[in-house]
Amino acid sequence: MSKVRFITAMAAAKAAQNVLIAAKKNAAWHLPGRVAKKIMPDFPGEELQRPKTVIAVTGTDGKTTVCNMLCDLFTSMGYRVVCNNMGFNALDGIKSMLIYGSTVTGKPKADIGVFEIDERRTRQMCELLHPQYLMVTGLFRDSVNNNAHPDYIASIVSSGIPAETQLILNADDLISSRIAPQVPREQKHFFGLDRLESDVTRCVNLVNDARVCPVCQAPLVYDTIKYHHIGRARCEKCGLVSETPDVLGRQPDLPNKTLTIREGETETVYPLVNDSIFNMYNETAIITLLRAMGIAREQIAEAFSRLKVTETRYSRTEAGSCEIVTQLAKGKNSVACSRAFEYIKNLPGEKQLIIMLDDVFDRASSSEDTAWVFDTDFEFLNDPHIHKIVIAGVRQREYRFRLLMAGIPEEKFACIDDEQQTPDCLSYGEPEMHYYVIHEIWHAKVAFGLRDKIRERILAAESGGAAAEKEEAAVR
Amino acid sequence: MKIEILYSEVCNLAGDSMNHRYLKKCLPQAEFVYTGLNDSPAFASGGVQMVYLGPMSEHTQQLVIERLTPYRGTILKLIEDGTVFLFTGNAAEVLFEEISDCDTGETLKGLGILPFTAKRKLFDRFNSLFLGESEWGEIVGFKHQFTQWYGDNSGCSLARMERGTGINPETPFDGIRRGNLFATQLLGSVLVLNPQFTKYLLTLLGAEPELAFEDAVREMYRNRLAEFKKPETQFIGH
Repeated sequence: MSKVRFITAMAAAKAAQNVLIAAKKNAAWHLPGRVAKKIMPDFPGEELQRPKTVIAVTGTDGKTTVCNMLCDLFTSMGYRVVCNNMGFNALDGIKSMLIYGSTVTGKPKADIGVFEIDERRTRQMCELLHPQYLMVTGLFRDSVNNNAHPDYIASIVSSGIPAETQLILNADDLISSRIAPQVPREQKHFFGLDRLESDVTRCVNLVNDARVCPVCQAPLVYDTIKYHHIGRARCEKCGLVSETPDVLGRQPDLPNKTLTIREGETETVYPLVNDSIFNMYNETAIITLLRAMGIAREQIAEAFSRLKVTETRYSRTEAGSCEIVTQLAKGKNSVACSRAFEYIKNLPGEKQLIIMLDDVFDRASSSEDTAWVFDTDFEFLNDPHIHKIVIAGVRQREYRFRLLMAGIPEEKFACIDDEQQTPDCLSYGEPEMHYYVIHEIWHAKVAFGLRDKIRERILAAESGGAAAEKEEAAVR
Repeated sequence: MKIEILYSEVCNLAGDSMNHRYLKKCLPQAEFVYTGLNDSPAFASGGVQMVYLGPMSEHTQQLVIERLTPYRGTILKLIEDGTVFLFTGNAAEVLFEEISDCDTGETLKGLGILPFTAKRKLFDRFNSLFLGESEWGEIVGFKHQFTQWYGDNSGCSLARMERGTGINPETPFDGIRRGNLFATQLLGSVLVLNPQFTKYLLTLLGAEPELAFEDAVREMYRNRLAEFKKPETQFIGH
């Protein structure tokens, strides 16, 4: 009877899924999971076989990027993969993916399942997925509405992890590296990054959620800090130190786009997918996972050489002598936005920026708490190479205040309501200018539209300038 | 003028460090003392006109209570003498009789300076906007909390709720005032969001009531107020 009910649930859910796929209704991807639950309240039970290998990825930032990369890497290695890489990380969305990745009788169609999971649902997700591997990219402060503070999230993640799971943890993160004491050390695989030229010993960010020793509360000493609380810390009072990485990313070679990975005494050079430190951590975490799975270094390096970052997260377009970059920054998340700002500040060249970070849901029905904006390092934008900042959205007044607090002169920025008007506030005609559109995930389409508008303006200005030069030369 | 920021390395959640960063901009001549978790508070030695404590984790509340317990008498005396205290978010709970955890049944004894208790539910996050009437005009702010406060604040509140909730869902009164001690659950940087309250605070400190970036904060305030007054604006659980 239970098998019949299971197959009925699967068939109904798959029918719903086919309708969604045909109608391209990605936003309703959680519905098949709900349909199955309606027919079989304890769906999927044990009837649904999970893929042979299940990998769960959680953490405040980077989990979607990591899952996308893992999905592409496994696919290029010839594995069949099921992955919730459309970003549906709540329970019904994951169930929908399991349905999608199985036959109607519950047999997995994929060899590997890669699932991004909401850190607040770690226990339920682990119960559902039975992951052999769980990666925690790192834990930072996030939306204050749901996530409260990193200690709270760390305790939720920690208590939800089964003792038999293999963990991939960030050794440079004193918050997430200490989770899950129930998991033995030999099942924990730590990754980290070696000292970089940009490292500091005193945190320059507004937010550092690991300033005191978690054991004895004495002030922590950081030998190196990459950003916020990410670095190598020690307590001079009780002797606590950051975990030693089993897999260490080092010597990033930006011109040649490579990253060296040290495992024990062995060093291997891998293609570097993205030059931001944040993405170097993502790449090192992925290599750590793949090595823990027993995949050969050469195979991993080969797969990385074919990898690209998804366009909704990062895109680069040339326009005449200029370039336009769209870059995702997670809204309501001070660390993610600070990372994006620092990254752009450190890039060479003269820049102009458009920033769109309004929460679309609050904008539609409530009034967004912009406390996170006050934790974000807008000070990085106070830079002589950043010539213009245009911030758009209903919260433009809060951003104006924040930019003033960051010491940015008012003539260098504009805060307006309408995103569509942002290109009007930029200047054109300066050769080799870099234009950045920093946007929240829900503004990706708008960002691409703005990119096209900016491109037209650049080309018009440059061709106008070229025509004028030609005219002048003819007169001479 | 000396202003003490208590335990800012751990009591700084939800953007509330902007409260003292903004105060610093408004009072460029004032001396700001940042007291670490392992330091003796400056207020114990005297000469401090204002003490600020920001929101913190539940574990940190326990540590702060431990650190402040030896200074309970001093804090009481300073309150009686009119020293300004501003506690935001869950900070004031350390001054309560107790914080009780409804899930585990455990109780954390507070400093017992304010006759209130906090009831905590770690799996029941409460999010709300707040709009209330106060002696400084209308107050706006945000609540994101695991606790509700209990005790009678009808005669010592900071604001009477127009929309949102008071210190718990059963009362319209928000915040607690005792002398120049201001205890509010409000987050979102109450000093930035409420310029008229900040001006009042500056006056209490004997400073000129001049705000930094006044036109920017006033514009923010007007805009928030208009949004908060729209009937369609969702308040609870936003």
